[in-house]
Amino acid sequence: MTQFLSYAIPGLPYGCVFALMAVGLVLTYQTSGVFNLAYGAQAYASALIFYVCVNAGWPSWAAFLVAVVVVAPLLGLAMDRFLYRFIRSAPVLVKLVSALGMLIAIPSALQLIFGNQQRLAPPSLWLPPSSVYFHVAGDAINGTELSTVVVTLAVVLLASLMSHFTQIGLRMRAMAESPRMVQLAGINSELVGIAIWVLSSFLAGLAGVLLAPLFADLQALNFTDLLVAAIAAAALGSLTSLPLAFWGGIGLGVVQELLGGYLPSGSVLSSGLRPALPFAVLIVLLLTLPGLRERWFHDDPLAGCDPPPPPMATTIGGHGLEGFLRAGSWTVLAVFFVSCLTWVPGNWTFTLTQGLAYSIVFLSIVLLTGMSGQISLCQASFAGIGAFTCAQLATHFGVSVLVGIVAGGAVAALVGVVVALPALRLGGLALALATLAFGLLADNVGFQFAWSGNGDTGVSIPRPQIGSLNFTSGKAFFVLAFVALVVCSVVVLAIRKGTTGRELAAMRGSELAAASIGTNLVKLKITVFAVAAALAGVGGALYGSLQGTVSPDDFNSLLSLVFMVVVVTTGVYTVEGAIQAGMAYVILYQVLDYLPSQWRNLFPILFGLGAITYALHPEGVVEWQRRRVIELVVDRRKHREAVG
Amino acid sequence: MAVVEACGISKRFGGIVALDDVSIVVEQGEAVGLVGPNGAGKTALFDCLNGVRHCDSGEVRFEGRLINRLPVYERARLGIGRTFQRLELFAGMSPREHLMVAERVHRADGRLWKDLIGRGRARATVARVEELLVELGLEEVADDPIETLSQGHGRLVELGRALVQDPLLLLLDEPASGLDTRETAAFATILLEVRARRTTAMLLVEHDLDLVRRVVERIYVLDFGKLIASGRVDEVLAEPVVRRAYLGDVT
Amino acid sequence: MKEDGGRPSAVTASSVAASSVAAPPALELRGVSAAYGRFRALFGVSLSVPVGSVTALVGPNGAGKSTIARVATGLVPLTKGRIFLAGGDVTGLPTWRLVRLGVAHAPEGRSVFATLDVEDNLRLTFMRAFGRKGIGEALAHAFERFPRLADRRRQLAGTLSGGEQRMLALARVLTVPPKLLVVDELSLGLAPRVVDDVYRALREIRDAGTSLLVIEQQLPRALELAEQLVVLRKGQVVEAGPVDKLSDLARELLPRPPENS
Repeated sequence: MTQFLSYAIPGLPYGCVFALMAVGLVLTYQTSGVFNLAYGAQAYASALIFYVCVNAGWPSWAAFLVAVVVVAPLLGLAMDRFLYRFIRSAPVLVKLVSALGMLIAIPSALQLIFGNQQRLAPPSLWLPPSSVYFHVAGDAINGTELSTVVVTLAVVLLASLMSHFTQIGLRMRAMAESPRMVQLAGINSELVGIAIWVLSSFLAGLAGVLLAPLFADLQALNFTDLLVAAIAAAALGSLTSLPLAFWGGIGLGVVQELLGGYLPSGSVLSSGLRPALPFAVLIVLLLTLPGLRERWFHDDPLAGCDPPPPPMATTIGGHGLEGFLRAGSWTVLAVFFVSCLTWVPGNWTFTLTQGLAYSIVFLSIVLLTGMSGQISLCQASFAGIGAFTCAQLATHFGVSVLVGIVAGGAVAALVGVVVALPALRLGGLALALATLAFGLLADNVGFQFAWSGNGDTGVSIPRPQIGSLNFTSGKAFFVLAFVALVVCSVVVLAIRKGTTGRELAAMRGSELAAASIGTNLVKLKITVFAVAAALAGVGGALYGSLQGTVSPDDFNSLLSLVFMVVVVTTGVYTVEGAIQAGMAYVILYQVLDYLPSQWRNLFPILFGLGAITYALHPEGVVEWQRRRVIELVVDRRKHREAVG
Repeated sequence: MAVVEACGISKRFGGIVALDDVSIVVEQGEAVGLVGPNGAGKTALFDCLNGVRHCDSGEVRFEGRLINRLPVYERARLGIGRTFQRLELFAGMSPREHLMVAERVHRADGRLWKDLIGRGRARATVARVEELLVELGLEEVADDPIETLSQGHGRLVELGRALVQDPLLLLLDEPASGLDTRETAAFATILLEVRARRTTAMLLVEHDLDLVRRVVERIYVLDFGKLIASGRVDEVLAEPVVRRAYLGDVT
Repeated sequence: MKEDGGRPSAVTASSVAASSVAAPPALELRGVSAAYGRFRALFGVSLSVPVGSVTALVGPNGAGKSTIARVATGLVPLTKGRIFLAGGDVTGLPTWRLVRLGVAHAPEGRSVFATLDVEDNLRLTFMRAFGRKGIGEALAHAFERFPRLADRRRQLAGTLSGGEQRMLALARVLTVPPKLLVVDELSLGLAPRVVDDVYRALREIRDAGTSLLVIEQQLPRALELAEQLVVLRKGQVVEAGPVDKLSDLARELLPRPPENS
């Protein structure tokens, strides 16, 4: 018992922070319909500002006031007023991508402002971390832990008192069901909505400041992990129940530490499974909790007042310009190919080859998200599976690297089926969350074994070599990657043109009608998920072979989010979109290399903000501009005809 | 032989009884009407027939085979086509593409490997689709995005999408709502042609009784989830219980 | 300025109403058009609800009846035309402002907060109307009028029967009598006996001085209560006028029995 307690008690501070975040997440999801993935970034923002203020010599109460009471609510409010407010009735994909954009842009923006140096020993909010106050079951309770638990309990107690005994609390609870019905009661629902964002953002800020000192240094990634833990806790409450979300958070923190205590120390399981627990819990919950499926969308009796969501993409005719445009893109392609083999300097050829490999990975997002309307947030992990499979086969079994690349795709497809099989029966948000959790699980556990990604050391993949055909030189490998991209593009185009592609388009338009004409939606989704995972796997293996050595960090789950945002920004509906995204991604990175290191944060900010344009221009920035040009030319031509 | 036979269907949503022990039969090639006031359970019955919902109790038989537990797509492949009260169209696709995908799915052409080796683009598809587009009077808008079409055209596209699969049973859920008089007349003509062929049985939910009278031979009347009358159209509509429930007669 | 919005419909109810009532109508729509995104639902609708009377809105499915109810309470924005409450222009005001000006709306289907208990449902409305002091009295009054609700005051509204939910919706309205009440298919899915209760309550509200706009699928019910009738078809007003003149026409336009009956 004493041992149990001594393991469980250190989990309480973590549990408290998870609980705070979970409560805030449920609050905003219920009332605004937006699953605010940027919540982790909000927590990070407050933690960072608190750190900066305290290190500038401010008293901690003043830093707290600025970071948590002022900045956190303002940030949340700004997101609601300038972004989320306008996409309340938008499709799930639009909401998720916008929130993802914020999740990526906010931490980078902060690092751009405050610098991206390492920040060690984040300060404790209230009691000094060094002093020990008392012992429980042999655990020394230090100031950080004590203040986290006390502050959380106080805040949650206050919030629940407010929710149940005040007028604004009653209104907030009513908002969760239907903002329109709140209006029909004569209440300004916008004001109530603002109050909710202020409260939930305050909770995020508080959680951030409380969490920071529990880690050795302050990094944005910790807060993404925190976000997933909070999502898991929220899922325990079916994303609707605040008390269940709260206790879920506490429970998760405690169980995490218990695992650490009871599992054999030193193994990958104990070091990996402990932080991975929230993700595992989330996946299991998504698969098993029936309430989560039924109450996934909250039931507003006045939902009929919303206009139907706009179509995801409409095709416009090129008005005779198609032939011209097609010839143009072929010319560009040919010039690109020849240039890379002739005058382009070696380091740029390397960069562009990277772009080709990324393009293949991005094709998987085009297939999955653009063509099928499904959201996966673990495509980088599938790329990793491809790369590590190829590496292990090549180094331990002497398999030819080219075969290894194909095998990598096959293994990724298999894993994809296993991930997707249960999750696909759920809605778009469920699949997004399940894949996000899977990605983090792969980071923390899956890729840490010697037989997979081999942890921080990584694995090596030689360049392929078949008899006299040798791809070790930069230019030869470029040709290989180019051919691989062409093959993959042809596959995606064939799927699009064929019956499967039409069924996918139909499914995107109306799942109900697609089923009623005899489409087996589950099979279709799994097929497409598997093909997408295979594409990502091939792209990842190719990338690995190009680099020579790859480690799990090359395929971390944060990268999956960036990939999604990058493709969606440039154009998620077309094969060209994927290639443009791949090239833009590597070229921008290469260009930013010439800039001071702090400016490298500009890049995620750009794409993060780009993701927000998705709500307005789902066809992607490049496609949007192309259409504008076409329309301009057509208008001119019409004008000329009218005049002449 | 009955195409579809539903026996003692019951369905509840929460505390509300949407369908209470409803039994209907539609014979091969027959056109049958289903009328009743709003909320009487007509759409719920359709949902139970084509599998969007599973009934709580009762049996649904299709050509004698028990299909209670089959999912929507399998019932569609057996030959149950459907149109929807609230249009369910494929956003971003043209009418021609709507018919094309339905035709291909019908021929079970959806194998991935066939796409990859470039097979599965049969001429028969094109011919059948073109023919139907002309029959429905959609040839002029065949390539317009579906979003730009009127509701009337949308209903025709839904009808075509179902017909291209040569269903044995066609469930039509208020196909004339939102259509003007001219469109309704054109719609009736098409339904009459379908009926004349005697290969597709129809179950028609419709508030426009003129249309019902023109197309169907007999009707069922639902009220509060219960079947209150059935038989030849004019006889049934003359029954006092029907007039009270549906037409709101106080006399 | 009067005719600036939308094309005028065939007949306006206001022309009929204006002759009998001198005071500005409780609700007036002038040339109102509305749409859900691309889907246009109303085309230049003009109608008015005279003070202290009941106007019934009838028409086939999809004629735009519910859209008129939503436009009148600001839930759906108009694309053209103007709305007047008791003579004042309220076009474009948010729903909560309209409610404070005396409009109440009992929407189609569930119109209570399912996740709140019965008392909290009432509290939400009463707190605004009566403040902290008057709320006890208002609650007592509501529970006196609907004793069944008093028995269930701590029960979640979502677990009430359909009839009880309507009672709860009406209890809010009866305790804070609005100037204009918009009722959308209140009898939908209710047993006839419960519908009788609902209509009795509506009559009570009317007698207390509230003007009503009633949407009803069951024509005889509507005819029982209404003084004016507006017949709607495909988003336009077909006819409007006193019930005794129009009831035959309405029967004609709605699904009708065969001639040989």
